[in-house]
Order: sequence, then C-alpha cells, then structure tokens
Amino acid sequence: MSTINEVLDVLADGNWHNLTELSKTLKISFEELDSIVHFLSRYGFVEVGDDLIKVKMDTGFKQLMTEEFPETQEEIKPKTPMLMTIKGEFQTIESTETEIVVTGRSLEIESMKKEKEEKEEKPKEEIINVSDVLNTLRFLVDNEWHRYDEITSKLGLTAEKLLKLIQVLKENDLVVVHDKFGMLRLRQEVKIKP
Amino acid sequence: MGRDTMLNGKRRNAMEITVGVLEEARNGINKTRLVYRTNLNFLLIQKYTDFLQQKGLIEFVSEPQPVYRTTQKGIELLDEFSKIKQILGANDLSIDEVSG
Repeated sequence: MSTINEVLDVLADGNWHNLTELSKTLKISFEELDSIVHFLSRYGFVEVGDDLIKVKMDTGFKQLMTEEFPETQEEIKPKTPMLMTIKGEFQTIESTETEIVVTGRSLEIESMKKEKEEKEEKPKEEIINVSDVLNTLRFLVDNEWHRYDEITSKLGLTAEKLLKLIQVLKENDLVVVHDKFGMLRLRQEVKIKP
Repeated sequence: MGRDTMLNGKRRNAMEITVGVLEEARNGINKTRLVYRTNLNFLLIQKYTDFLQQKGLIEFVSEPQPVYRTTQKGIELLDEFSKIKQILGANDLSIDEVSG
C-alpha cells in the first residue's frame, strides 16, 4: 500500500488527526506527511485545521472512501443462489450455479420464483389521477348500484386502484358504499354534468 | 495494460478511482464510456463525478456532445499526484494502473 493510501485509510474515520501523531503512527517523516496533506487539501480531499496541526477527511470524499464497489468484474457475485438442486420423480441433480426445482411436469427456476414472491409481497403502488375519478363518476351517473367487479372490468381498473378510488369518493361524500355486497352508487344529491 | 491491470483483482480505493476518472476525462468522455473505462457502475460514477464537479476538478459539457472533461485544476492535480508519487516512490499507485 502506498503512503498516500495509508494516510487516507487513517483519515477515513472522518475525525481530526494531529499531524505529528499521524506521522508517528504511520512511521513516515513529518515532511512526507506534510507534502501529502498539502496535496490532498489543495484539491479538497481533506481539511486542515486553522492551527495547521490537525487534519480530517472531507465529508464528500469520506463517503466515496466508504463506498462499496466491485473490485473486479470477475468478483461480482451472482444474485441467484449458489446451490442448484433439481428434484423430480426420476432424478435428483445437484450443481453449484443456480437453483431449479422440477416437480412433475412443472419447472420453476427458484430465483424467478423468489422474484415473483417479492413482487407479490410488495404490490405496485397505484396512483389515482383525476381522469380515474371522472371516469368512475361518469360510470355511476345512472345512480344505480354497481358491483365492484363490474366497475373494474368496465373501466379497466385493478381491484386495488378501485378501492383507493372508492376511498377518495367516500371522503368527498360522492358515493354510497355497500361493503357487504361489494357495491356502490352515486349519492342522489350528486349531479354529474355530461 | 491499463484496463487489464484494473481487472486483475487489485482493490482500488477512492483516490485511485478519482485519479482514474480524471485521466479518462482529460479529453472529454461520455458517462457510458466512463463507466466502462473505470469499471464502475452508473450509480458510483455519478457520485464520483458529482464530487469532482463540486471540487472543480471535472466539468460537464453538454455541447456539442454531452461529456465530462477534466478541468485545468484537475489536470494540475494529475501532474502533482504524479510528482508526489515519484517522490514517495509509491509504485503501487500508478496513474497508468487506474486509468485506461
């Protein structure tokens, strides 16, 4: 490791360091350390105290120093599990590259299964916009009761989005909801212009 | 030699990467190529370019092509770094090793 790297490694803790003590710790001459610190401070990698006897690493550079980055392209680890297991009625094969589960005629790559599970666990956030609200109101303009599934299919909404829409409409006293039967209708007093 | 050396398993620190970025951007380089040349990902290269821009060592030029270019101050850093390296005899922190 070069002297500059050694200095940077010590300063990476972000604390103030006394130059004299630092030169002793790193077993380098004060002049050498001074030239390194002078260079680093000139370009903003470190800060030198007003008393000129202490130094600390620049906050921005400290963040870069502590960043994790791939050492080499070869060392980038695959995200998929390392153990591969193929289990089936007739055979069991083990390998070390990926994980595959065979059950009867179905075959599911374990990494894909996990991704699918993660997606299911974290449903996409539905965004309600003005046009969704207006379309729903226009659909309910006949003041009749409408089932949730009817509305989702007619308006092309997801169930989650419809529930959010209903919440918005309820908060604004625009609809009456029959939770038990999963139906809603426009309030009688609400008038929608064509 | 340069890029091969980067890929031979040696761990680089922020200073080495910084010098590498400045070397690559001497004549202007776009972000995609910079990512490739420095063997970093887009997120990391953005952090480095942000830091270097803040320190006035690199600039983003949008015309005629959007590129990052090492500033005069950045070039002075490279020259001074080279001199310090020679003085300290730090042969494991070669500019050639960290740039293409």
